[in-house]
Formats: sequence, C-alpha cells, structure tokens
Amino acid sequence: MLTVEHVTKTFSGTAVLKDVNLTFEQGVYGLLAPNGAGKTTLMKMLATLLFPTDGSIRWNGEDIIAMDDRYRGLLGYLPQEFGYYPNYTPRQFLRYIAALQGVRRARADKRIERLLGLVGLSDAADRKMKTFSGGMIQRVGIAQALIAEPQLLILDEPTAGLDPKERVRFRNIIHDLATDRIVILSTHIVSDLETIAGKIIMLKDARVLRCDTPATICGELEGHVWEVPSGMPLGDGQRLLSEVQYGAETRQRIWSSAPLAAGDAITPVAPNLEDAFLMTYGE
Amino acid sequence: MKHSDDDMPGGRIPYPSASERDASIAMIVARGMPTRTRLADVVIALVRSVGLRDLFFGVWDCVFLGIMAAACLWGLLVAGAGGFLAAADGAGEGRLAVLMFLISPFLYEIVHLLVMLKERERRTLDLWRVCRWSFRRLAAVRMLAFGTISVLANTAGALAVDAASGRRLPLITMLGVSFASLFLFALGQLAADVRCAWSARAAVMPAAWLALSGIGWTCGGPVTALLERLPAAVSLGVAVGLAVLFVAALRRQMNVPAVRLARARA
Repeated sequence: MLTVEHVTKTFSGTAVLKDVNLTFEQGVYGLLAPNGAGKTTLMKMLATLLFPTDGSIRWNGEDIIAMDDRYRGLLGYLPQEFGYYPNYTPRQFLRYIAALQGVRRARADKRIERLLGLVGLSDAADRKMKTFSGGMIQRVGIAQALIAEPQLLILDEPTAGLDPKERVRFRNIIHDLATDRIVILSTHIVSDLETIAGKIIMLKDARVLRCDTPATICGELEGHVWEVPSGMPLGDGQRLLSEVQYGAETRQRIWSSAPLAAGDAITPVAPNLEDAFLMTYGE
Repeated sequence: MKHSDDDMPGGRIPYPSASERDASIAMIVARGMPTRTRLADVVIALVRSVGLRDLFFGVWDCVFLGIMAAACLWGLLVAGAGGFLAAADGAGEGRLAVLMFLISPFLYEIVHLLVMLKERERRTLDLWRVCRWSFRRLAAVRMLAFGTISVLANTAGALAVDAASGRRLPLITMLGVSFASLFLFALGQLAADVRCAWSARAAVMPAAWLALSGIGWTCGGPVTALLERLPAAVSLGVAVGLAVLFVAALRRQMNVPAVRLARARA
C-alpha cells in the first residue's frame, strides 16, 4: 500500500500541491487534470525524483525516501519525456536498465524477450532506436518500466505519441498488469482512463478535488447532459461541453442544471468522463 | 535474567541480562545509524552488476571526444615545449609548468561536462535516478574512472613534454604538479556538483581555474623559482594527499543519507 500523507510541494514560494492525502492499493489509478495542475509533480514525488516540502509518502508504513534503494527496487517508472540513446537497440537498452535494477543477466534476457513481445517490438529488438517512431520509443519506455517486475508502476503520460491501435494495446497491457500491482498513470486524455482506471484522482487548485470511481464521477452528471443542435443558444444554467460530429451534422453536447424538453433535436445522453473533466476544469 | 520478587505473577520482573541489553543496544544502533559503504565495495559491486563496459553506457562518445580533445591539447604543449624553453626572458620553464598545471584537469573536466550535457539533453537522468542502483554511487564510480583515465593521460603527457623539453624539467615534480592540479580541480568540481544549481555547475570550476591560471601565467618568474625549489617528494606528496581527499569526498558524498538529501532539496 502506498500512502500520501499531507503532502505539500512548493516551488519558489508557490504551492504546486497542497495537503494531498491519497491511498493506493492494488489496481489502476488515473491522475486526471489539465496541463500544469501538478500531475507530474506528484508523479515525480512518488518516484522520489522530487521531495515533498511537507508531509510524507509511505510504502506499507515506511517512508519511501528512507527506504532508498529498497523502494526504487519495487518501482517501475515511465517519465513524461522518456529519454533514450538513439544508437542503441532496445535489447541493449533494456539490458542496461535491468543491470541497474539488479536483475541478473540470464533472467533479464528472458524478461526482455517477453516484454518486447508484450509491447510488440520483438521484430525490432535489435534495430537501433534512432530508426524508431515515437510510438515505438514509448513502447520501449513501457517495457523498461516493467523490467524489474515492479509492485508499483508509475506512468506519466504513457500514451503520448501512441496511435489509436497502440493505445488499445497499452490499455490491455495495463489491465492485465494491474491484477497484482498498483498502477498509477497520469494523463489528460480522458478516454485512456475510462475503461481501465478503477479510481480517478482529479486535481484542482493544487488540491485533490476528488478520488472516485469513473461511474461515481459520471453518475453525478446523470440527467444533466444533453445533445442539442449546433448553434442553439444556451440559457442560464447551461454550459457547452463539447461538439460532436455525426456525419455532416454537428451537434453540441451541453450540461444543463434543469432538465430540457426532450425531442427529436434535443436528446439526453449518458455522461462520460470527458464531460466530467470539462465541467470540472472548463471556464 | 535478574529477577525481583515484586509485582509480576510469580513475583519476578524479567530484567534483561547484560548480554541481552548489549545485544539490544547493538541492534538499535545498527538499524539507526546509516551504514557507510566503502568506495571499493561499491566499485566491485557495480562492476559485477553493470560491467566495466557499461559503466559509461550511452556516453562512450563523450569519453572518446574528451580523450581526443585532451590528446590535441597535450600535443600542442609537447610541440611548443621546445619553444617555451628557448624563450629569452628565462620564464620559459615557469610558463611551461603553468600550462601543465592548467591543462592537467582538462580531460577530467571535458568528459565530466560532456557526459552531464548529454544526459541532460537525452533526458535520461530521471530514468537512472529511479533505478535500484543509486545514481549517486554510479556517478561516484564514474568520477573515479574519469580521475584514473586522467592520471594515465597526464602521465603520458608529462613524459612527452619531458622528452620534448630535452629533460630540462624535473619530471617527478612535473608529475606531482599535474596530479595535484587534477585532484584539486576534481575536488572543486565535486563541491560545485553538490552545492551549485545545474546551470552554474558547468561553469564555476572552469572559470575559477582559468582565473587561477591567468594569475600563474602573469607571475611566470616567481612560479619558476617556486617549482625549481620544490622537492619531488613534496610535489608528489601533495598530489597523493589531494587524491586521498578526493576519494574521501566521493565516499562521503556517496554515503549521504537519502533523507538528508531530500530535506536539503525539499
């Protein structure tokens, strides 16, 4: 279990995170917030790259900084900007990471084969990474985060640069991994979390706004989200969420505090996580 | 155990014996005190785990470029050694000694700088810092390796300068000057790495070194006199002393508890 207890982080006097309290157990947690909300700061503190100004982060009751290499040994981390050496192959790169993680060579080689297969890079295992696309590099990043079979996986914007097919593959991988470990992933791409996250953590104004299941978050908007014709003027208590395209027709997705008269043009729709995101963070 | 007849059922309080008490104290102290690891143990463990070849994984090009640049610099000095000594003003040996002092840390610094810049540019530092193997220990071993490579390079350079100058310079003294310069610089760079922000780290020591060497250059005469009077044993002794300080500083930096670092950087 990973606990974040009254964690505050300030940079040059500005609080980026204030009094954050969270508990993580086995499963997938999605950290959802717009850019600049403090997601990466929190992820970096969980990965011991940054240190809380106040408060503490504990693994099974023990401070993660005091644990030092014992904590890092159970951690797999994919940074927001994954660094690599272009003139090395993924196999060489993963071997090095495995050595730094204390995995013996023979075991590392077996794991590397399995991980490269998992992320769909078996055929490119011995090609230099400078020939890789952005999505392929990101997949190497995911593989390196798993090399030490971590109990805690921290993935910062893991689907950046992945095409839709790769994002589906990624979601399947995470879904399988989360059965016996804690997976924390941060993103501002809502659709990445909708199907795999057991809990969504939303940050606002440097604080944790909520930590709930997607169903609970969406359930609060039940009965308030409507699709209306594009260009329909919005009244009081109504807010534009997004626009959706149906062939040549564009419709507006709106939130309304009061129910609307449903008709051919105005239809109630099931709220989704994107609606909740836009309601929370929209102006 | 000693017992008392008071309080406990059966009438005895189970006080620990002296040996039990000592064992408890030893256990508490062992768990509470940070363990200090020897640099040699770290080097051996790292070489076993990562391998000597992978000590500079991804940055071998920086090592190669540094060696080439240092070879060019020493080559220029060797080529100019005869010219310096032929200078009519008699300050030739002094200026040659000052130049050796100036360029001795060059290989160490250029490799250190290139590696730092490359890791920063490739954004790999965050990855290394979250691995089980402490990046501080890896960096310490790398710095030790930089120092060792530099000692070998400086020895070769000093021998070449000695030969080019027709053996008019005291070789052992020059070796001492070269090594002392290297380890003095390395100590300063280590301090800058620990205490300065990243942007300043790369500039502080080179700037200080250039200023120091500028002073030495303009004072060619007194420097000559000083070096000519300096016994070889003193020169080498100072160099060895600075090398020991450098290794001790590396070990101390490597053993700083993570919690203390975290408080400093919070």
